[in-house]
Amino acid sequence: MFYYQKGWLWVSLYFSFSLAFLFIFDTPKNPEIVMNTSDYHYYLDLVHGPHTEETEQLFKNEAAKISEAQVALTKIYDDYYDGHISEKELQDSIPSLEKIIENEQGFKVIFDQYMYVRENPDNRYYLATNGWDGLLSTEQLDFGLLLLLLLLVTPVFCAEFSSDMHSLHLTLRKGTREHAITKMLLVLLVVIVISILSVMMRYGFYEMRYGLDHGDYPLQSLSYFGTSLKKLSLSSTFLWSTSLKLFGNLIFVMFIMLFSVWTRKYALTLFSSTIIILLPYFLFNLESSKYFMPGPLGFMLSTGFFRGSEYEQDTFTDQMNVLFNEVPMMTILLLLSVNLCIGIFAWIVILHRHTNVWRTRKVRYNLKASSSIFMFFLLVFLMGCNPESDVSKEHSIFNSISRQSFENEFYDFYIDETDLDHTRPVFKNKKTGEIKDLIRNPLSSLTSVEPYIYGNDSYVYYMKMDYDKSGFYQLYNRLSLIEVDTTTFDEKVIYEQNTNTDRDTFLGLHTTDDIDFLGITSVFVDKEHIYLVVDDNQIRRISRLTGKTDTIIQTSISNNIAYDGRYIYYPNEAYQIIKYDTQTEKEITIPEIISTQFFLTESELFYINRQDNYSIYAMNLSHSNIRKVMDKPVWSITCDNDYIYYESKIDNKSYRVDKDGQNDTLLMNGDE
Amino acid sequence: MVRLFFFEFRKHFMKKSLIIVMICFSLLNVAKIYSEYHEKSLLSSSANPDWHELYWGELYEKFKGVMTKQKIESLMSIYQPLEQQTADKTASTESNNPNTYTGNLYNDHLFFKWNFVDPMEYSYMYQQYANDVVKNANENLSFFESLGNDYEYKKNSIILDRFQGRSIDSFSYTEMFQYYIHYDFSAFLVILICLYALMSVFVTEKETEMDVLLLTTKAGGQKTIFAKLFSASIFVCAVSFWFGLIDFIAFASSFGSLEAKFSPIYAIENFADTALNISLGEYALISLMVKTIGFLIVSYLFLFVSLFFKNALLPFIISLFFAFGLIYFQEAYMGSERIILKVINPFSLVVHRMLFSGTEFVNIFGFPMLSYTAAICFGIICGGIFLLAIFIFQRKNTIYRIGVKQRGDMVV
Repeated sequence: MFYYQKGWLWVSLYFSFSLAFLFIFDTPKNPEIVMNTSDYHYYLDLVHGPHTEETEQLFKNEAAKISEAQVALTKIYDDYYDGHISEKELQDSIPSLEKIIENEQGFKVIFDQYMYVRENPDNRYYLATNGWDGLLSTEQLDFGLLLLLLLLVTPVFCAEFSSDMHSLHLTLRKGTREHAITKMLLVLLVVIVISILSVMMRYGFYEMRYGLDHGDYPLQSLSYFGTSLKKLSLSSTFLWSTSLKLFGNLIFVMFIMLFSVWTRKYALTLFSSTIIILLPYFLFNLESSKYFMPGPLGFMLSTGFFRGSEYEQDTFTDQMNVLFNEVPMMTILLLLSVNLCIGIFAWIVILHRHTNVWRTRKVRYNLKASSSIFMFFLLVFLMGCNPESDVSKEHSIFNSISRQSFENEFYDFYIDETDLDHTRPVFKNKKTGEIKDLIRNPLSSLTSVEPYIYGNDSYVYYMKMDYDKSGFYQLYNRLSLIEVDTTTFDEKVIYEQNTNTDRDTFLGLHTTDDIDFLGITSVFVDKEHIYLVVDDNQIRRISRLTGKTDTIIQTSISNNIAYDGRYIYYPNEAYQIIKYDTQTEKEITIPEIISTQFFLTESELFYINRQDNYSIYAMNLSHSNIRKVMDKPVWSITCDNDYIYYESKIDNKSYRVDKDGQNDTLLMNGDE
Repeated sequence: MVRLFFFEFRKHFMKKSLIIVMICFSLLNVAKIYSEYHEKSLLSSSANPDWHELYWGELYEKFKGVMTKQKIESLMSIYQPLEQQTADKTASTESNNPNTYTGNLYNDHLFFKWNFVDPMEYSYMYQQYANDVVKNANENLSFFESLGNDYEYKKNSIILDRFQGRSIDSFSYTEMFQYYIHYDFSAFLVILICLYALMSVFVTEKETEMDVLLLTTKAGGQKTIFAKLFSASIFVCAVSFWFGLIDFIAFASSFGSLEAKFSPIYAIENFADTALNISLGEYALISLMVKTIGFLIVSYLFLFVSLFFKNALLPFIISLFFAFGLIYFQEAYMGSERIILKVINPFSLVVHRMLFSGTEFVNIFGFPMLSYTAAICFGIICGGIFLLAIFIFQRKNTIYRIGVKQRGDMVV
């Protein structure tokens, strides 16, 4: 099995590929925990375990404290910039408040867990879930193991039949039952070892990457098993599921050996063994169906036996649709018995097939009988149930506050919102004044365009969502970022994500990409990365080459975010402006600027000075000189090549002023 | 030669095990289609018990056919009061209201909305949509001409040509075709059957070492290979058509209607942007043919892999691995706008609705080729390469190629 059939090679390949696959493709089920590890663990250490009165109180107090601290912090900064308190008073107050909100992101993550635990505090405990979720909350068939078992076990008997050595074996003293028993025991032993090693490898991986603490906590602590009625701990669920997996694998190899001695042919053995797994795996729309079937598949997956019933409310009809039916304990026992009987039956048949006429009367298995038994099995198993873009080196400046417009040498691009049912990016030819749609593709059914654009030199980018209507409901299908070369108006997809959770795929091997596509408020790109601005206070960076996503900036206030091709500018809660270097991944605070809002241009950073009655100031980006543009309190500012546009705090009206502060002009409606 | 073909066909494909598998899989396929109907159809008894009778009883007869002003007014006279009564969700929820069609006002509202108003509205509005497409494409012609973008100009002129004069004049029951077009399970069964049946084509003789003997016979070289490939192709086509036929008949009988067979393919909402101007009945036929081409290419791949081995073990595993690999990438790029990645995967011919549902182009040396044409061409080239490779790598006798050292087979 291992030497002549190159078993070692296949086993080594399986473990190498499985491990590589885990390292490369594994993503945490709750990425927020990974993104805010230290903050999250600060709170988890306080609350881990069951939900108690104290934890309830702690959550209430902490939520109130954080929200009060945020208000107080804003007030203190306001007071300081308004001159009501001194710098010493500011410095005295800030550390204690900042300490309260320093773990705010972690609190948000654990608060979500609190909302889940609170629904049923008796059997839902607080713990870091990513490790256990990775290990238990999956029902993906291990295709590698399936192929490995087929490769290792099929030749055990088939090799003899294909070389006609079987008859010769039967003439030997130990060539009959003893021979078959030895083979079967060897196969079972090998499968046990491989299965245990495979499970240990997964356990080791998740232990190392996320940790598998608190195995004594109830299974329902994981939302995947939230509705389960089984009273098990996480560790015992793992042990039970491992045992069931092992049992499933053993039954599966018994099937392979049974088919081998029955059919005596490689192709038929492989085919029969494959379909008893693959057909039920892909046949049913209801996930739980495969767990109610006799056969090894349910046990090879095993974790579904521990899930609870799940329902989904149909928003149109208000009916509850079943998503998953819990498998009762009696059914599991029944299935175990049935499979055990099948295993014993297979054992007996294999031995019977290895009996010569001297030991017992030869039983003639004619093709008719074989066919009818083959048919029986088929009926039991099958019928029994229901490239990088050419971004110019000179990067255009991006300000998230003006995400709906961009201008280059020839065109003004903007989002036309005159028809709210048909908002779309358009462009105005600077020479002719002609306005046309940016998206030139005349086909627009089942597509919507997001209300923001990004521009860089002659390239303009827009995001669109495609929908799928293969069934009754219209579903999100794909999110794409399109690059338009405005010299030719050729379009190119530079990024796309599968967002369809219920699409009509062939087998469902490729599931939805792990991306939270909701809440994206603007986007900007460079040669290597795509940056998604989420809720105006978070920036996610996506590698254009590998698709790897990480959160690089998380701030507690929503304001303008600017990008000049290398540095990202964003505000913090102290009204300071932070400059993040996308190459070195370091950030610095721009000194002397305290601003409620800013706007970046190629040469200057315009901002509303919080320390000088909300007047407009400008900082030169080359030598950091600061000048006052205008002595008038304003709410907000935006700029184009020639003017600053602002909304006055005095009369709430829009004005336009030259960049040197001259020619202050009131804008009438439609002027801008 | 003909006898050789029949002999090969009988030897490899007229096996009892294969016939049993075909029968079982056919029954399974019918059961699956039946369950699809019960799970997905609006008119199935399990979803909405009264709707089937109500729909087919009198209402469909009343509204089907050419959409006239009179029919629309008649429908709206029923629907608008229902919409008003249920708008604020304060209407009675009683389930045996005698003044309703289904016993419940909300149920009535959904029945008319989903079965008549929404599909009729889509059909009615499609002409406007097609006109907009034509208008935009027309505008694009002058726009891209002014920019000197020849490729986009050609693309838009094709779109203009395809969408000119489109409309959906009649209302018909399209649900059967909607789910028939999006049904794939039978393709999976065909792939499994092909995988099993084709494994023996080259391997059988190697297992018994008859392949060496065959080389010494008159018809043993190219002729045998040709007969094997031809018989395998006929078998794959037969299996594909058999399951295609079962699909069509089972869908028609489960849903109880073939009403939309003469409706244009863009009557299905997912196909609003299709480049095809054919009826749903014609599409069913074309779809089956394209699927068969896909099966043939995948089958040639299986045959090519099996050429190098002495038994079915490794070729089966490798072929299964390839099949899953192709399926994985086909699914990954199913709705993608990276058209070339869809087109180069021969499996996209098996699950081809994404090729036909939109009007997408591949740039072939500056000429825009419709994605399905490119996929079929590429598939045929792929299949040709596999066939050629089989002829090149087959075992040859020394008379055929004197001096060429024979290649040793990998033994497993």
